[in-house]
Amino acid sequence: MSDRPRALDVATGVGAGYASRLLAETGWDVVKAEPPGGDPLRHTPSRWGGGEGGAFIFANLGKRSVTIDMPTLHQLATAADVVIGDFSPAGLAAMGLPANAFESLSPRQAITSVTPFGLTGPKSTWAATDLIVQAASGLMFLTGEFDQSPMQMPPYQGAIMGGVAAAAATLLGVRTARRTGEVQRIDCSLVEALTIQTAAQVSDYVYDGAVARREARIKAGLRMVPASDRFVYCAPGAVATMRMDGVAQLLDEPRLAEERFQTAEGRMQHYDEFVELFVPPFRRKTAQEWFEGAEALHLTFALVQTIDDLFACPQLEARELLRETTGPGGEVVRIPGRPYRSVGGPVPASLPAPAVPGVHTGEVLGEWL
Amino acid sequence: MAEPPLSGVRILSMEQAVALPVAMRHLADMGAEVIRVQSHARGVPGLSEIDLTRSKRQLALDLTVEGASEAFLRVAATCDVVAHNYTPRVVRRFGIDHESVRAVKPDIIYVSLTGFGTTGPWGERPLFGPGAEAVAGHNELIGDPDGWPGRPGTIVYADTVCGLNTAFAVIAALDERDRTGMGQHIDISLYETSVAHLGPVLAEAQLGARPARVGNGDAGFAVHGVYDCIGIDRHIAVALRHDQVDSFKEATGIETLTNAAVAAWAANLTPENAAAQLQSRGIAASPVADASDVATDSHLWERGYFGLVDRNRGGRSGTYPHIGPAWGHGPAVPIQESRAVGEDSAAVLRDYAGYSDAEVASLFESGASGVATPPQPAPRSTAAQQLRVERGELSRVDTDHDGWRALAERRGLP
Repeated sequence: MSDRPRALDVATGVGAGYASRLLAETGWDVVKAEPPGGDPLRHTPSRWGGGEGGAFIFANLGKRSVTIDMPTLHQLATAADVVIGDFSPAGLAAMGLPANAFESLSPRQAITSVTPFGLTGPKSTWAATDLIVQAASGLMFLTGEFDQSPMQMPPYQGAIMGGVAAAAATLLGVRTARRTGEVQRIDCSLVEALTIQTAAQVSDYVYDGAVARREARIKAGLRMVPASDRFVYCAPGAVATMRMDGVAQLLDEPRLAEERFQTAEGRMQHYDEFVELFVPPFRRKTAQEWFEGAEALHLTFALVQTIDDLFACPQLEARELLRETTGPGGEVVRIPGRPYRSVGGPVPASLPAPAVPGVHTGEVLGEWL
Repeated sequence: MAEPPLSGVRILSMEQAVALPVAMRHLADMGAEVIRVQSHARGVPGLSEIDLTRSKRQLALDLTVEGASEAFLRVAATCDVVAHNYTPRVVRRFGIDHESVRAVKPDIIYVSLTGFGTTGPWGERPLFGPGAEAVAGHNELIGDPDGWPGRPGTIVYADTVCGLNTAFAVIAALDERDRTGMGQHIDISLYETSVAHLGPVLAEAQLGARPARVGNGDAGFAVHGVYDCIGIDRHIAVALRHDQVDSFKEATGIETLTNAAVAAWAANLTPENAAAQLQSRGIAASPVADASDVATDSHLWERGYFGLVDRNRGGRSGTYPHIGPAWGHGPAVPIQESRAVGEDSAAVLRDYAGYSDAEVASLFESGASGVATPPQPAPRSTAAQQLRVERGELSRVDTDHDGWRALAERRGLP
C-alpha cells in the first residue's frame, strides 16, 4: 500500500495521455482504463508511415492498465483523486465511454478533459487532427517560408503543450478542491495551449492592427545554412544587432562587414548580394567546425541536430534525459523521461507503457477497491 | 471572485529573456505573488513587455553591489519558490545558488532554468530560444523535402515550451512539499524540454519510421495539406481520412482526388466557408488562423480565453485583451499592468526582508537597489507599419482592429 495520490486515466491521444503521464513522473499512481481492444493510439502510425505505437509508449509511460466494465470504472473513479481523459465526442467513442462520462465520473478532487477545441463553444464538436490544432492555434500561419504557404511543425506540438497545461491545471484543481471540498471539472484545449505561443502577435494586433506573418528569409531562412556536411544555425546575435563584423571574421569574407549589410533593412535591400557572400563560405567546413569557431568569437551558433543526433548527444547522455523503455513488440526503445531533473523531489516514473490492455487489472482492483 | 489556486504562494524570480518570465506569468495568473528581480542598472526590456511582466511585483537589485545578495537572501527566506534563468556560474558568483538559498529556507523550491541544464558537458554553454529549437531537432522536421530546414513560427517557441513545463514543475513541487514538507531543486532547460516535445518522434524513429521534412504531408491521410483561399495570405488546412473520401468528393464536387483538384476547389472559397463545408460532414479542417483570427475568435471568447487589462501604451490608453494561461479560461486573478523596474523595491525590502527605512535608503544610495522607469513603446507610425508590410514582416495592417470588443461585451466584460 502507498499513500501516493491516484489518477485514473481514460485517455486516448497524446494530449490527455501525456497529462496523466506527467503526474506519474511526479510520484502519482496512474491507472489507465482501456476498452478491451485498447486505446487506439496503440495502433497509430507516424506522420511518415511506420513507427506504429511510438506515440502511445511516449504518452503512457509509468502507468498500469486495466480493462473493466462500466460499474467498475465508476468505482475506480470514486477511489481516485483525479480522472483525466479526452471527453470530446471522438475521444469518448474511441474509448467506449458514455456521452455523460465527464459529468458522471466522480473522483475525489478533479476531473480533467483534454480535447482539441475544449468541451464548450462553437468549435467543440469540430473534427480535429494534429494539423488542424496547429492551423487553428495561430502558430502555423507564422511557420514556413515567407513566399510560401504556412507549414506544419513536427507532430503533436499542440497535444504535448496541451498535456503539460492539463497536468498543471489538474494539480491546481486539486489545490482548489482541497480548500473548498468541491470536485473541480477542468476543460483544457490543445488549441488554447498552443495559442499561447502567439501572445506577442495577438498583442500586436489588438494594439496596432498588425497581422504578423511568416518571417522574411533574411530573418529566418538564412539562419540555417548548409555547411560541408549538414546545416548549422547561424545566430550572431539578435536580428536587429546581428554582429556582422564577427560573421565577416569567422567566414573570412571582409565584404560582409560593409556598411550596407549592417542592418536587417540593408541586408534585405541587397538580398541577392548578401546571399552570394554569406552562404557559399559555409561549405568549406563542417557544421561542428563552424560551431566551435563561432563559440570562440562569442557568436551564438547552434548545431541543427537530426533525431539520430539526439540519440548520440553527449549532453542528453550525461543528463540521462532519455530513458530506456519497452516498445509495443518488446523492443528496447529510448524516449524522453521527465522533462526536467529534480534533486530532492519524487523519483520519476519507471514502468514502461502497459504492453497489453488490462495487464494490471487484478492487482489494481485489489489495491484501489 | 473565489480564492485563486496559488494564493498565499510567494515566488522570488530573478528572470531575464523569455522562458522564466513566461513560466512566472502562468503562476501569477493563478494568484501567486511573483516578485520579479532584475537590475535597475542594466537595460530595461520594452518588447511586448506586458506578456512577460504583467501581474508581477518588481524588486530591483544590482547584485554586483555589496549588500544586494544579502537582500536577495533575506527576501528568499520568506518565499516558497526561488527561480532564476542565469548560468550556474553567475548564481554561484553572487552567492544565491541552491545551497545558499537552502541555508536560509530549508524547504525552498529552487528553480534553475538554463540552456542545456546545469550539469553535463554543455552545462555552461549559453543558448537562446531559437537556437534551442535547432539543436533539439525541431527545425530539421519543418519545411519541404527539397528545401532547407525551417523554424517554428515564433522566435520564442522553445522559451514558451520551457516556460510551460517550468510552471508545471513548480506546481507539482508545491504539491509535493505540502505532502512531504520537502523542497527540491528543479533543474530545467530549453534544450531538454524541446527534445521532450519531440518524444513521440523519437519513439517512432526507433520503431521503423523515418522522420524527415515532408512539407504539410502525412502518410496516413488521403488529403493532408494547406491550400490557398480567396484573399491575401488566407489558407485552409485539411486532413482527410481515407474512409471520408466519398463524402469529401460529394462536398466539393471533385471527381478525381488530386492535390491540384483540392487546390482549385479551395481557391474559390474563403477559408471559413471551406472549413464549414467540410466540418459539416465531420471532415477535419480549419482556417489557418492569423493573429486577427485568434483575437476575434468567438469560440475562444465564449470560452473565456482572454483576460482584459487597462493600460496606457505609447500614449494611448484603453482596455485590451491578453492571452491567459495555457490551460485556458483566462487568468484566475485580474491582469495587472506591468510595473516599473524596482517599483516595489522599498516595500519588499521593508516588509519581507525586514530592513528599516534607513537601511532601505542606504541600499538605494549604494545602488544595491533602486527604481528605473522602462521606456514607453512609441506608437508605430502608419508609414513604419507599411514598411513592415513591404519587408514581408506583416501580412497586412488592419485599420479596424477592434472586432474583439463586441465579443468581449457579449461575455459581459467591459
